Amino acid sequence: MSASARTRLPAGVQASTATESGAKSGTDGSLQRLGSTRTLALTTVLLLVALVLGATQGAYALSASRLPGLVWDGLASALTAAQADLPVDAQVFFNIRLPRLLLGVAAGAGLAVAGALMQGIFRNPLADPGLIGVSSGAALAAALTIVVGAAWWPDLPRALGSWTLVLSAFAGGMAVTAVVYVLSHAEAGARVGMMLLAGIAINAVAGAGLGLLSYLATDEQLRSLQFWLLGSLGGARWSAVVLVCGLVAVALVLALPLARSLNALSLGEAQASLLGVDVRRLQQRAVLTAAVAVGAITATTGIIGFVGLIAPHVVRLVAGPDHRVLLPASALLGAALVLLADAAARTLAQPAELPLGVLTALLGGPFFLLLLRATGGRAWR
Amino acid sequence: MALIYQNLQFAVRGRTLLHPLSGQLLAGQVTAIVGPNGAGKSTLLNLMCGSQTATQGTVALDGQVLSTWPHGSLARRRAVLAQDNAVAFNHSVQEVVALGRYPHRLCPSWREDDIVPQAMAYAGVAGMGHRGIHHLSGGERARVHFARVLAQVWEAPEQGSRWLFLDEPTAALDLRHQTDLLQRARDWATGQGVGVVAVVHDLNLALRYADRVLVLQHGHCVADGPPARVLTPGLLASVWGVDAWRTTTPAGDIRLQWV
Repeated sequence: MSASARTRLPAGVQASTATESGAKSGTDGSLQRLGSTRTLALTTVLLLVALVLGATQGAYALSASRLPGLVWDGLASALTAAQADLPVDAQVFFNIRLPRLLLGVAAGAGLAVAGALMQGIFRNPLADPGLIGVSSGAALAAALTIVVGAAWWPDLPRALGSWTLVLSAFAGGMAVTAVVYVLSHAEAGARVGMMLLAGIAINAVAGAGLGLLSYLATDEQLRSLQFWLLGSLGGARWSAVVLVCGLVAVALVLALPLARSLNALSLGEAQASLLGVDVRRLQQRAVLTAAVAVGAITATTGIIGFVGLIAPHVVRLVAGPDHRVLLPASALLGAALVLLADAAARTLAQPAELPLGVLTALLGGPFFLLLLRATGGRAWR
Repeated sequence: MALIYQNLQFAVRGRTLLHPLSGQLLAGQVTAIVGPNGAGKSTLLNLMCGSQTATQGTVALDGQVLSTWPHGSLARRRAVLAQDNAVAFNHSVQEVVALGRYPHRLCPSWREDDIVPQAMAYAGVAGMGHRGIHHLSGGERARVHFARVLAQVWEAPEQGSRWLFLDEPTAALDLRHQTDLLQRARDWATGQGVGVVAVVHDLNLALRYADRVLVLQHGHCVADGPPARVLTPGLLASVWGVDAWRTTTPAGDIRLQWV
């Protein structure tokens, strides 16, 4: 373990990483956990592999050895502003592949961190970012815009151009989250248990609305709707990608300092409060952070399921529940998972593209079951 | 250096759990709160430590009303071992004990790294650091949380008193660990001037370790004073409804026995 990591982490983590570094010992009941440095290194390597795979695979295959050259060409042309001179493979890489990769990284990292935050706040490993209503709210708003908006206000799409859907979806996600939050905090003392139930109820209502809208939709509208329900990185345009990356980066910066408070919350709200945690503020920050990240992601990619649930779970299985490791490692793993699923989505049924949201669940589910079996289910929780 | 409670009262949905109660607790003393089930012992403890807010009345710690203490600085001088200590995720014992140092994260002690191991050793859970909290027995878990609250107030604050609130700390422990735990709390009170307040069920433990007992019945304080004077066969008969008598151990300590 490196010297820098030693100074970064407090005594408790140092001691445990020194002896627990992934060894299959545990005859004395010790936890078999990967140390923090190894966990972060492993997830980083996985993300790099996923980036290379994602960059090279697809309808237009690029060779991995060409990637450094492509990046160099791109930088050079960006400096000289001579885009037209770029070779075809460089144009594919910069205009199609790279924005898609970045969107995948942002989506995976954001969803996974939001999942870890929600699981921490709800003290429940089954919580996922959708629980606060942000993804169903975004999908409902998008569906409303597609099906009803065009009929009631024909100028709307033109007025806002291609941003109409993105903005309405984002606004919808935030609005539904706000409703869930306000409902659960209406009564003094009511806390996360109430939020969980309010979230479930509001999700059901949003699901019903979505069902009704898809019943009313024309065939053409139905196809657009499907995008929201199944998720895709296909809509990656540079402008949207930059915005989503920025918002997810902000969310990560806001989320990481919450790690120790989330650890304390593991003891329950009353106990955390006795330790000096401002539980209410922690909940607000976590919910807002998750909502912004997931809202922005869902607005551009549609609903990508399972990543937010599974990435923190996998990290907890191998590295334990300490949020100081869990949050960054989940971000790295989530990004890798989305990139791998997207690479599969683009290549499995070439030239057609499978829906990403289907693949994340299709690949994630069995992988998760295998992992549970391999670890004997010991880290359930 | 005292905790003063005035006219303390607690009611929920019109039902009064604690009738108006006034008094003060001194740092450096062990105060035991005793009484039958449902007498309001935990309620009184929760009001005193600030984990619940009184319907009426105030609690002041070192002259400052509890509710006006900043969260963090209160947590650096007052630790509470609750009855329910469920941990949501399977943290290692080391991580759980280290949570006690959470309030000190912004201004760590100059010997911060030693505190968690020392608290673990003091609470008798040294060597368990790498085990998962979910994999421990109830008694082991109780001692881990005892280590956590010890770590929380391991060092005296720059000024003012230090307090340890224990809600039925011995409920999950075997005989030996019960006396060990209360002896340690006793030592902290005598040796370091920490104010200890504990809800206990075993009256003999109260007799042996407490400087003072508060006897609660139906939300009223029916007796208050040194345990040897307060815990009489007459009181046991009226409060617990048991037929009790006193004996003296070979060491000269008073013991209560009952049928």
